[in-house]
Amino acid sequence: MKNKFKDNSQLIQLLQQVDKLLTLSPFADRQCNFMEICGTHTVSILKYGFRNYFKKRINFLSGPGCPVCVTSQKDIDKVISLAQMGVRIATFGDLIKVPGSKSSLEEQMALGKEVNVVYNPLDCLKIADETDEEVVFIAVGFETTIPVIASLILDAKKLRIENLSILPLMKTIPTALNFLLTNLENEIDGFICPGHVSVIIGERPYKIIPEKYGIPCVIAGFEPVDIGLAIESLVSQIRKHTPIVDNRYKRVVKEKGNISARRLIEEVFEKTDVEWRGFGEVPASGLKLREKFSKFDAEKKFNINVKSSPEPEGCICGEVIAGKKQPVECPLFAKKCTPDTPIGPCMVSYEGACSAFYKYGEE
Amino acid sequence: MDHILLSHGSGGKNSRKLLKFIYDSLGDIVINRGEDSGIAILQTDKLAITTDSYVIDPIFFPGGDIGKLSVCGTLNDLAMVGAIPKYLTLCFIIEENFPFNNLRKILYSIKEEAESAGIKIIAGDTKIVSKGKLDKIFINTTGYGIIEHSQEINSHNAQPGDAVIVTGDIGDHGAAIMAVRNDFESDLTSDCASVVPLIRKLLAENINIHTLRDPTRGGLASILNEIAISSSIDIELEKVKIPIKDSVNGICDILGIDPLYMACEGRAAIICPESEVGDILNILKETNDGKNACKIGNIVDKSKEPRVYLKTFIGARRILPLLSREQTPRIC
Repeated sequence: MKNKFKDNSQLIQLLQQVDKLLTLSPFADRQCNFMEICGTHTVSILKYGFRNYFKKRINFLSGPGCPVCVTSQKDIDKVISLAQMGVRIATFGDLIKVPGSKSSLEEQMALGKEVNVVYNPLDCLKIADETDEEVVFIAVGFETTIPVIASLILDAKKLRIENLSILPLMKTIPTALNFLLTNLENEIDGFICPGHVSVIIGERPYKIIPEKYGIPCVIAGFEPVDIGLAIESLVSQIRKHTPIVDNRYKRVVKEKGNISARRLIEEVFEKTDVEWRGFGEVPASGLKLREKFSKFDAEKKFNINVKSSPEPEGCICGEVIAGKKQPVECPLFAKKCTPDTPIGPCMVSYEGACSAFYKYGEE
Repeated sequence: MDHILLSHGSGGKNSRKLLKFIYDSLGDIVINRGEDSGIAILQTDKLAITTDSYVIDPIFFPGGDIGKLSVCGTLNDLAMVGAIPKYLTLCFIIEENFPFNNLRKILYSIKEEAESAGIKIIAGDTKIVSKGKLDKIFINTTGYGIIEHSQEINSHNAQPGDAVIVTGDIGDHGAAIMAVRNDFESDLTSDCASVVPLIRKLLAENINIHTLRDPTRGGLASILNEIAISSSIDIELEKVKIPIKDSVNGICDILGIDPLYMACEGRAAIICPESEVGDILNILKETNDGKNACKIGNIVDKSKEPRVYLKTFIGARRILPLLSREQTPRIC
């Protein structure tokens, strides 16, 4: 079956039109800065060659949309500390290679510590059921993943599973965006808003961006046609001076998002201040378990004693996440830091900007 | 007795029974039976030798099994230097309790492939290891072939201006294996086959070939990167011209894998002067295994920093790198 969003000859015409617009006012003498918030967008933009196609006319900046990348060094150290205590870790695969300040989960596995890779947080129920050991799920993720983590907690409570807890490292995108906007150093001409996160949160949380900051937004999917339409939308909005939140991913993103998924989140979690790599502490941008679920909080259950530690020397992951620098500006990029020997998290995760640049970078 | 026991590797009576079972199943493709060494009779001063071990999981897959793979894989490596295969050695390492029925199926596949390639099994070995010490069965084969042509066919010989041709659809084997492993329902089958007949046909027609490689583990992207490095050249491919089945693209999308890094087990990449492209495609398209052959790109230039570039379908160019962390567990 042909995928009309992937393989569509009309896309080339569309891109040629956009390209022509970019030679006219107000673009003629400058480069546009578009930020894609989601890591999967970074991958698509590089993989399909959009970055190279619009070279010199559009500068694509990666944003804080890769959950592993934005996890702070201190939180990574907490994960490793839990493994060292001998609890069984359940985690998404991406986290395994992320280096903490002294070790990584990969190294702990080699030393014989138990680490289970899960694709679905709910798999933890089975793992906990089959062992007497303490199982801790490393709960990283944005709004896309958080409803499933909420379900995990509700199911664990219902099934009275005593040996399961989570290390809550979840973060929410709109709060991070607001923080980013109030601390902007670079001028951003448009945002490509995440596709999957928007399925849950809908269009509304982004409205403040055009309304307060006058910056165009587009919600987009991940196929080449989706990216083409997103770029076209941002360019037209700038031309017409009509910044809005343009939903170009209507086939899955509804205006109000997924209300029942948000209710699940609301039932289990409440807002809390958390630390982001690259941003530091951002007020109310993370989630913690509500009091009645606190026995599932690994942070409370185990005595995790980890001090703040600096990010690896030379690593600019924090600046990459904040859209201040490109991966290729990092002195370690593709030299000391490669997917085989990652120094920062952006080189580890599939969605990480550095990993995407390494894999799909242009000349 | 339905299953392999440890005693089948003891050197005693049961070992003889296992050996007889293997000989009976393979029939007259086995020569020099029972001797400590096989004696090859070759009238040539140019011999090609290659060896490979096969550890694929699952051992039976749509389009083939570990037996077929262990013959085709090694024959294909011989074909990649333009050699005509003559002999194969065959070594099994088998896990205790492995069913004889499965061994028979594997041996029949080996027999079928060896017969159609006109080669003989000249030496072999079996070892049995206790349960849990390996996964079911591993096979090692070493192939011997003679080189009759006088061309320089190797990875160092790709030259600016040359064309890059593939003999068929890319990624079928890897995708079929991943589908089985992930319990996906699909009609994907492995492309596992010998490319010897295709290459022999080209050589018989005096086609000028500079480089041949089969895109097995690491896929097309990896072998082209290796050629680029060996020949100090840049290669540019056109994504829209690379033949990939929609079903292969589909499964790769789901798993987040790029089909250009998926293993093929019955394909070859041919690098040749541009002037040979027409003849090569005419010859290949007459065959069943080569009917989807096509030109996918060119060698663009000599380069101190050799790279493979991919022109995406929007007309932009990006690097197609050598992947360092590709996870393709036991795919061949």
